[in-house]
Amino acid sequence: MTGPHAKSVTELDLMAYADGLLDPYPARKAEVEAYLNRHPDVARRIRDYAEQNEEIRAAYGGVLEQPVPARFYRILERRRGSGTTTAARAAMAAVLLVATGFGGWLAGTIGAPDGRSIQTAFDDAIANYLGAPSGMRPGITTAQAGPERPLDWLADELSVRLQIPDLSPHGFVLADKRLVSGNGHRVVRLDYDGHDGARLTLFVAPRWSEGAAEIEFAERDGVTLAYWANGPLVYALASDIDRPRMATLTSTIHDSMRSAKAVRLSPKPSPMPEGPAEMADAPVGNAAVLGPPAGDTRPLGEPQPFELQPN
Amino acid sequence: MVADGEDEEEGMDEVRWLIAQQIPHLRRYALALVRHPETADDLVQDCLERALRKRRLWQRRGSVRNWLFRILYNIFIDHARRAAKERGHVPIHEVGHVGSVPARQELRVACSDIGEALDQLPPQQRAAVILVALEGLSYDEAADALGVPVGTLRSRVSRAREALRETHTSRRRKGMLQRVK
Repeated sequence: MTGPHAKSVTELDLMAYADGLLDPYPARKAEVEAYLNRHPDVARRIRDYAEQNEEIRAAYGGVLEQPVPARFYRILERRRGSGTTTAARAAMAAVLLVATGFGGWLAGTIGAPDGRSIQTAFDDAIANYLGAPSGMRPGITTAQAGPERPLDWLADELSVRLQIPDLSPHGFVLADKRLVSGNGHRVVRLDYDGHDGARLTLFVAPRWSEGAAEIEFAERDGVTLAYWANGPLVYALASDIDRPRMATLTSTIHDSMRSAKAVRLSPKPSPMPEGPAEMADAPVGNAAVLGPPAGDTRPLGEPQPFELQPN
Repeated sequence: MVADGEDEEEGMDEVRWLIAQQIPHLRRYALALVRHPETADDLVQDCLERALRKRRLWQRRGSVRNWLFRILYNIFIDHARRAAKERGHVPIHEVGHVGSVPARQELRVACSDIGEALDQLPPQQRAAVILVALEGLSYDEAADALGVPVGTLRSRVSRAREALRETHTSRRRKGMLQRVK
């Protein structure tokens, strides 16, 4: 079976065979198999090695499919802080928090770019939320936006088209719609007013990659928080309504946002659009201001890198 | 309008994205190394922090995955040394735990078996054999990922596998034979 020029089978060959590394080399693999047929002791050893590999893979293979908790992405998303006022930094910390999924504030151990804990940053965000009186938001041009009205925004070469959720069956109307930018992140903020006086803010932001759409709830200082990631977007909902009511709202929003798709506008990075670039924390009454609608609506097959231009 | 600094920042952000893609592989490797999910996640978080700080050093040489595995491996070895010191043990170089495990009447396929057997290996051998098994890397790549010469990598894998045969594989076979009887 082995010709006069055949290389003798070495331990390296045997190990490679056990590890499946000879599969691309069928001739060599056949020589090794012939050798193993002639040496059953060695064959048993090699079989044991292969079995060990299978057991290790069976024991730990499942981890690959688990969704990655948000705190891992947060570590990567830290940036050097830029010199800014405290108020602006509070807004930026809130935006960072929102764009990365809200999960870490419970632990309170992850540092924000300017050194404060996420817990503190979230406290600021909540204070900010609680502090904005409902009737005094500036620049409202439309009190209500119907569900058929798309909301697009440009994030570098990636555009996200999504529908503003219609929460009127639940007694909430859209009061304000704004684009909040800061610290390299851009977040859409939708404020709803309830007919019974309750208030609700929905933050929508793009994120790194896809994860399971588990909805997590938390409560703090009378504010209920729901957050989840779905496809290319992460959502967080802050409200002073109770958790059961929050849960029904969350599913409505979750369902309505499912049609959101991230599409690539162009292969090259496009220059920053004029309108949104100057509208840091300024309200927008009109979807068209946020950028031209995407011409190409190919659905996204896998997570795409995106980058938001820092202000 | 786009300054040089911002260009560099964009390139760096692509590196962050590449790193982020590897997180599931890092978590899997870490879990196989230390077996406790919280400890494993701590190791991975340390790894990501270190990688983020050192990302400019990667410079697109080789795969980002191998680069990250090397960082994780070094963190794991530090962790293993600290843990051994706290226990007051000298790291074991021979597998001396063959001990008195009762012969099994049934063939047990539970995952904890291989996990326990792996735990008994010295950390460097454990890291080597798990990496080759889980990631299917060639020996060149595995050696690169662990930052050791190929010969060292192969000998660690070899010794690990022989040790596993002693503590695990042959015991399982004994269990099989007894059940057949």
